[in-house]
Amino acid sequence: MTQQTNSFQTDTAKVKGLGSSKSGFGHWWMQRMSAILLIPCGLYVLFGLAGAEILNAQEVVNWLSQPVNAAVTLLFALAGSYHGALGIQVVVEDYVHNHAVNLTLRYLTQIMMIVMMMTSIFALATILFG
Amino acid sequence: MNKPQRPLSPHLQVYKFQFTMMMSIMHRITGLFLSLGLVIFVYWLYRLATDQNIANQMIGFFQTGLGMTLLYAWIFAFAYHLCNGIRHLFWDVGKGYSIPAVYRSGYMVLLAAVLLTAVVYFLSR
Ligand code: HEM
Repeated sequence: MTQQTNSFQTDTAKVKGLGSSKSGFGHWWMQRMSAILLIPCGLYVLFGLAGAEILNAQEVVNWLSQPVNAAVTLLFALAGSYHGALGIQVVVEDYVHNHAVNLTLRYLTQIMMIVMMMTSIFALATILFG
Repeated sequence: MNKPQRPLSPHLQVYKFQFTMMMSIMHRITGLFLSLGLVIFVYWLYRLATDQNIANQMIGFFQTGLGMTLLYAWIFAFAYHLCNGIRHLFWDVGKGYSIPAVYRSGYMVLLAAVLLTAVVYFLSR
């Protein structure tokens, strides 16, 4: 913990590849990168849907037929699925100490993420290209 | 066996309630709640593409009393998690760690989340 060796390595270089899984830094980093992407995308979708007097599905489909709206919405759904799955993994690691249950929940989280990504790609491709 | 030299988590049962710990647990709860919301959102996108009747039924549900309550709980959760996430990102680059700063940013996040929710509410009137 309190190693005081002088080193020219940056703090980041020191933590990469450490820990029992060797991948903790990458997980932490992608949680942050997806969060940064979600700020503009999330606000765009939120205000796009709130401002557009949406009362019925046809109006929403019209809104989503604009390529930029569709692209940002898809990015939001993909980044959100990824970020949420990374986040749930941390929660499972913190609270579920039974190894088999832990692995099962993390497996289901990943499958769910992939299904959500495929579904949102399919949905927006269908709306855009018929 | 080696004794771990790492810091241990605080024992919640013997901890005095503090504003900052409420902010922290709220980030986790909103994150989980938003994950559930995203499942419904993606399913709604799927139904918009495949069966607009079902998509309209979902919109109808979110206009009932229960549905509106849920919808605004989600919008507030999103606003809170987004603002508090930005607070996290400042910590991640090493800024805002003094005790007064942590309280100040905490109050700012709560206020910003309420305002953002209110703006969405009035925009969608
Ligand atoms: C669809 C939207 C989102 C979902 C479903 C979501 C979900 C989650 C979940 C489940 C966690 C794990 C909570 C925990 O470990 O305690 C998390 C953590 C986090 N989220 Fe989000 N989130 C979303 C949007 C955002 C946005 C817009 C930001 C903007 C900055 C953000 C920033 C963060 C950060 C920094 C963490 C890590 C917190 C920590 O280290 O404890 N999230 N999110």
